[in-house]
This record gives sequence, structure tokens and C-alpha cells, in this order.
Amino acid sequence: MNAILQTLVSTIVQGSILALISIGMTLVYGTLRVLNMAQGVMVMVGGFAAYTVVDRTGVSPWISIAVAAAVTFLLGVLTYYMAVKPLLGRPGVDFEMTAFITTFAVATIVQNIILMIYGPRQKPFDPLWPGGINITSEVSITYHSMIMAVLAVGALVALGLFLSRSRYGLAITAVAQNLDAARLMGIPARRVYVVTMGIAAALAGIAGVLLAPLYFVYPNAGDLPLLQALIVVIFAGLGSVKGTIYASYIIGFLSSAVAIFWSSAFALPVLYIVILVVLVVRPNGIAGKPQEARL
Amino acid sequence: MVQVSTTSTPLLRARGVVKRYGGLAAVDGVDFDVFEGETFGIAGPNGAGKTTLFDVVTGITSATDGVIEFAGEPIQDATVHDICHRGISRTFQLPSVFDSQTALANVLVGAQFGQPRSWFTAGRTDADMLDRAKRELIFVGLAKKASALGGPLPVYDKKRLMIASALATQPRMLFLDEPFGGLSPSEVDELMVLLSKVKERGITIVLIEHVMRALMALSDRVLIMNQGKTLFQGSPADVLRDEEVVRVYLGRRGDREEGAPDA
Amino acid sequence: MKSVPLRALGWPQIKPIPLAIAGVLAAILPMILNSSYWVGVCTLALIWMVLNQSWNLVLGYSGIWNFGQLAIYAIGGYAAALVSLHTGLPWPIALVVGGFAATLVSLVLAIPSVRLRGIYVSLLTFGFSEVVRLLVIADKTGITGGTFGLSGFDGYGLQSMEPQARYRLIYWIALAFVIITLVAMYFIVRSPLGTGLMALRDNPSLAAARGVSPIKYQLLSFGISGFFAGIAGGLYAFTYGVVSPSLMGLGQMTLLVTMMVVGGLGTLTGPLIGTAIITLVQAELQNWPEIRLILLGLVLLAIVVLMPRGVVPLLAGRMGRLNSWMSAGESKESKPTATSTKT
Repeated sequence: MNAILQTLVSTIVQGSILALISIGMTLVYGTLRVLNMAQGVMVMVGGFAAYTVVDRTGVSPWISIAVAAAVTFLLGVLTYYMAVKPLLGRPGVDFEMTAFITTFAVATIVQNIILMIYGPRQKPFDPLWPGGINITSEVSITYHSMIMAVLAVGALVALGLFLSRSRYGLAITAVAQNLDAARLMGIPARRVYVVTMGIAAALAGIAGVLLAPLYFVYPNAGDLPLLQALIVVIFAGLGSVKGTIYASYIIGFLSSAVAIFWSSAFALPVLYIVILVVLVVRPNGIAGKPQEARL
Repeated sequence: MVQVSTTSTPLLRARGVVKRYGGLAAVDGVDFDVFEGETFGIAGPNGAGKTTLFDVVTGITSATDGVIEFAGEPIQDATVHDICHRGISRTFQLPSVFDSQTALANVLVGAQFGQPRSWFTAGRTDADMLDRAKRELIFVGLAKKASALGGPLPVYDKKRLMIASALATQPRMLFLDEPFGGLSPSEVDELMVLLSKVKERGITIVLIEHVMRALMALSDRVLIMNQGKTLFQGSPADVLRDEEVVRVYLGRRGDREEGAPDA
Repeated sequence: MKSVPLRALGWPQIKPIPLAIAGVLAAILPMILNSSYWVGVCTLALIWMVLNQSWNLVLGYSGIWNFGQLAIYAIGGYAAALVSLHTGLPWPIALVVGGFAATLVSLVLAIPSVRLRGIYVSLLTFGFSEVVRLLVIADKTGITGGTFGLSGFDGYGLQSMEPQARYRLIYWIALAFVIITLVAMYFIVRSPLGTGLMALRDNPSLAAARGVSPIKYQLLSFGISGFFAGIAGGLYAFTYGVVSPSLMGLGQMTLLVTMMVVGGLGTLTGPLIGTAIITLVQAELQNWPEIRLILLGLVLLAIVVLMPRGVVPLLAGRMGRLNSWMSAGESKESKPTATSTKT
């Protein structure tokens, strides 16, 4: 009973954070057809930005969230100009493949710059709100976990409102649905790309601050989130926002359950086996369309 | 004109072929027969379902319903390469070749893979196949461009290259999707000569075409489609007399002697 | 038929003089280099050349975005090490067993991969590689040795030799495998298998319509590629006497992908030249590990952005233009042809 309760709590927290990270990947893939391999690094940089601000100026960790979001937004924009823009509209080159490699290159560069500046040691980061409550005698939930879930869901709702209400948000949605039609309606596609990359990175940056007290701040902190986000986006079918949110909680549940009932070392391998089966049965993910050709 | 006896069994027999995309029926219950040695023309306005019909027959997409038989055997569930091995080869509406390969290497693909082969022979290069590839390249008149890359070739060359690689598979039936589209009048003339030579080799041809001049000259029988359904089926001479075809597709007589009604 | 020369296929040609020079240079290199450090660096480069050539068959020639090759390479290494550790069979047999183990895993990975669309394949295989690494690290049974890996096996069994002679011999063994792999790739590219794979890469629908069975031939390419990757893994194991999870991992992948991209994917000599260049740069920067990886990332980014087809096609293109300029008098069609762009 306690284990089940623990799994439930963990699912909500993990699922929300995963959604925050992978929604950015899906958004970027939907609008630009770029699978952003630098998304994990954004999580890590978000953590470092917050750590640095708190460490140097002693401001509240709450303010550091905004700083982390701003820094990663800029880094996302920079990634666009370095790794994506030069590839746009180039004939004879597989855009998705090359963008996969260039964003991966950016991730390598950023990760090693951070490693050079800060060194490989894990840095502690205080919870946003120390302490917690005991649900039963054995299951406890920290205030920080609650804040994580609330902030993550809050950010997702804000993103949803932004996409469906604001001018820029609607432009992003339009470009993701039909690039040609959006262009014909006078939407500046390239500006939309920049903003999308920025927002996606900022979401990951926020996630990075929220994860920092749990997993510390260190240069490889983005590797695991990237791998988990990859699982989520494959599972959901790339480009599907709704599918990504469902998939985040499903994957969050599976990884919590495996970690609690078996061993956390097997969480990722088990997830990949699940994904393998999903892909063999439905080659375009749970929300994707089935393949047409009888090739 | 090849004499076709309509009482013999058809080489290709399609009955009640339906292809639905969601609620839209791109092909909606089409029946037709194609007999050995004849040239069968398909025409109709844009969106009539001609290319979809081709895709269904050649396995590029699955039929929602219906039966397609080739040489007496059902092929509606066969894979694309299996259909090729059985003897149906096709070209595509958009000129499509293997961009990074030379013209000769393009044709060689057809020569090497057109007949069934098992995987353990994949390391063996057969001199016959190379000869066949060269022969077909010469046949379509591209011998001089044998070593040019496929990607940068002009449209007319790409179209001939597609035909050459299709012929290299030694097909009994050749499906041509708008072979004349985008060609200059002199190129249309040249290609018509080429296709009648293909016909002389005894290869059954099914072609989609908007250029009525070419369609009428080449076809023994014609199928006119509209909105996924058969509008008319019969001899080319009768097409021009059919009021419904004239109304839906050809427009007022004499308006469009040349070229595509709606291209 | 005389009017259409065989050369028109655009297949890679053997250029005897450069090939002979390169061969002799490679063979006498350990005699020229007097430091055992540099002989070691070159041996590692040769092992990577075998691996990169095998990877290039799937990634470059078949156009399948397989990023799981390092796991297959590692599995080959572990299998060879285990055979050597537990059976005492001679090393060539252990190497081949490693190759077959890798083939098997490669085929298992291929089954979902050939059914999926590009980007999903890269995600799946990338994840596969990480999972294999994490599983090995988490392994508590002692079979793989966990984080520390396996060591203490015989390797080539040359421990009694004098070190300098031993390093040279190990270098030559690796060189022999580079040549074997190169010859194999040369014949594959010129065979129907190569034609079919490139056709499927260039235009899958057209290739299928010309009778190429995608699943059959792509599985075959995974199998062959896996075998050579496994051999490379075994070579690594026997050269260094250790296999560990550090054979895989993101840093290693960046390194090898950069080599292939720099050299040029889908060319025969690209993986060789790219590996040589990047190994040299890496070895020069060995004292600054962080800068090394930053530079590697920058090189990868710059090459993909500036010359996405790699160094070899670029150089070959220049050579082709030179050739066609020189022979412009003979032929009116002096456009660069495939014969000159593929080396």
C-alpha cells in the first residue's frame, strides 16, 4: 500500500517534469522538424544558471527560476542561429538528420564549456521550500516535490494559453500545422522558429532548476532528462502536444514503478523495451498516424 | 494497332477497387480489364483518383476494398517489390530517379532487382544484367548521358531514365503516370515514338495522360475517371463523342486541341 | 554497347598509385614513429577505421540513421573478451565469435529500425546504445564486470614479446583488418547489394517499385555492418586487454560521428581519412580534455554547416573538375560526373 502511494506521488512529480522537458522537444519538432538533442543540456544549464545566481548574489531560489528561464531562452535562440538556421532551405541535404547532428554538436560544446568553467563536481542546491509532510508513517512528500508538480503544471497551462490565445502562440500553432498555409497568411516563419526554440529551451531550464535540489547540479545532469524525454516523444509520436502530455505521465508512472518495485538502475532499460514494443506495433507512436505504404 | 480480343482472359483485372482516405473516397469502385499487348489510357480531371488507382495497383498504397488480379493471381495485398517481380513496373508522376547515382547505375537497379532473387546472391554481379541495363539506356536514347548523375538531369531525361529502369525489370506490364507532363511539343513527339517502340516489344502499357493528342494516338482503349468513379470506358474514338466526358473533362469541343485540360 | 562504358556506373575505382603509396606508408608507419605513444594512437585510429567503415555501410550507404553502432562494437568486444577469458581459444576465433555476437545483436536492432521512419530510427538506436551502457554499468552478476569492465584475459598472447616489437605487431594486425574491411566494403558497394542499398537510400518508393526489397537488404546491411563492428570491438579488447562501458557513451559517439562526417558519409575512403584527421587533432590536444571536446563539437558543427558531404567528396569534386577541365577538348560534356565525385 505504501509502495503504491509512493509510486503515485512519484508519478505526478516525475510526469510533470518530464512533460515540461519533452513538450519543448515536441514543439520544436512540430514547427521546425528539428529533433533538438540540446534539450538535455538546457536542463543542465538551467540548473547551473540558478546555482550561480543564488551562490553569487544570495537571492531567493525563486528568483533564480526566472534567471534560469531567461538564460536558457537565450541559449535556445543561440542554438537556432548556430545549428538550425544555416541548414534551412538547403537542397539535397537531409534536414532532419543534419539538424539532429548539429544540435547534438551544440550539446557537446555547451556541456564541455560548463565542465571547463565549473568542473565535474556535483553542486548542491537548496529546495525551494524545505521540509515536507507525512501522508502515512512511511510515505512522505516534500514541499519541494509539491512545488515541482504545481509549477510544472502551471507552466504547461501557461504554455497552452500562450499557444491558443496570444498572437505569437497562434503563429507557432499555425506553422506547426501547415507551414505553407501559415506563410501564405503572412506569418513570418523564421521569427516563429526563433521564439519556439527559445521557449522550448526556457521550459527545460525551469525544469532544470526544479530538478536541481533532487539530483544536484553537474555537467552531466542533462543526460538522463534527455534520454527520458526521447522516450516520451517517441512514445507519443513526434509533434503531438496532447500525446506528449499523456506519454509523460505514462512514462513517469512506469519509471517510478520500476524504480520503487525493482531497481532504479532498470528504469530506463525497461522503458526502452516498452518503447521497442510500441514502435514495432505502431511505428509512429501512440498518437501518430499508421504508415500507408506496403513497402 | 494491336488487335485485342476482348473474350480472352485479361492480364490485369480490377473489380470494385476502393481507396478511402478518412471519409474521402479517392477511388470509389472502379472496374477495368487490361489485355495482353494493348495500351490502356486513363484520363480525367485533377483529383479524379488516377494516380491513387496506380498506387493501389502497384502496391504503393493499400486498397480499402476490391480485388486486383494480375495473370490470374490476386495482388491487392502484395508488396511493392513483389508486384514488380510479378511483372508490373511503373513510373511516377514527379520525375523521380536515384539522385546520387549515374544514369547507368539507375537502370542497373531495375536490371538487378526486377526479377526475384535471394539475398545470398546479392554479392554477385551478373554480366547479363549489366548488358540489359546498357541496352535499355540506349533504347531510351540516353547512352550519351550514361555517366551523368540522376539528380541534376533535366525533366525529359529523368522521365526517359525512369522508363529505362522500368523496362530493365523485364515487365509484362508498364504503368506510366503522366509521361508527357511538363514536356515540350517536340519532346512529346519523340516520347510518343519511344512508347510505340515499347508497345512493339509486346509490353502491355497502362498510362495516365492529360495530353489528349498523345493519349488518343497511343491508346487502344480509354478509361475516363471523375471523382473516383468510372465516367467512361471504351475506344478513343468514342470518348470524343461521349457528351458526359465532353461536359466534365474535355470542355467545349475544339477548345483544347492540344495540351492538358486542367494542368 | 561499346558506347556505354562500365566506368559510367560511377562505382569507386581503384587508383593504383595513391593506393600503393598509402598502403606502403601505413605499413612502415610504426617503423618511422619511434614513440610507442604514437604507435598506440595509430593503432587506436586503425581500430576506429574498422568501426567507422562498418558504421558507414549503414549510416552512409544505406542512409539508415543508426546511432547504436557503439553498443554493437562494445558487444563484439565483450564477447571476444569473454571467450578469451573463459575458453582459452586462440584469438582469431575469439574475434570471429565477437563478430557473430555483434551480428546477432545488430540484426535484433535492425528489425524495428527498418520499419521506422528516419528520425525515429535515430531515437531508437541512440536509446539502445545508452541502455546497453547503463545495463552493463548496473550489472552486478560479474559477467561484464560492471563499471570497471573486463580485464585479465590473454589478448593476442604476445606478453612475452619485447614491448616495441609487440606494439608494432599489434599495429599491423589492426592494419590488416582495416584492409580486409576496406576490400569487403569495396566489393559490397560494387555488388547488387550496394546498388540496392543506395537505391533504397536515395528513393525508397522507386527502389521498391524496381523490385528492391527494403527489409531484406537493409537487414543484410545491418548484419554485415554488425559483424565488422564486432571485429573492431574484439580488436580493441585484445589491443588494450580491457573492455569497459567507456567504449560507449556520448563523448565517444560524438568523436566517431565527427570522424565520419568530416571524411564524408557514403564514400569508401571518407571514414578512413576522417578518422585519421580527427585522431591526429585529438592526440595533439590530449592535455586539454575539455577543450578537446569543445573543439570536436565545433568541428562537427562547422563541417555539417559548411560542407555537409565531408572532405572527401569536396576534394574529389575539385579533382574531378580538374580532370574534366584537362579533358575538355575530348568531350563536350564536361560536367563533373559521378565517376569523379566518388572516391
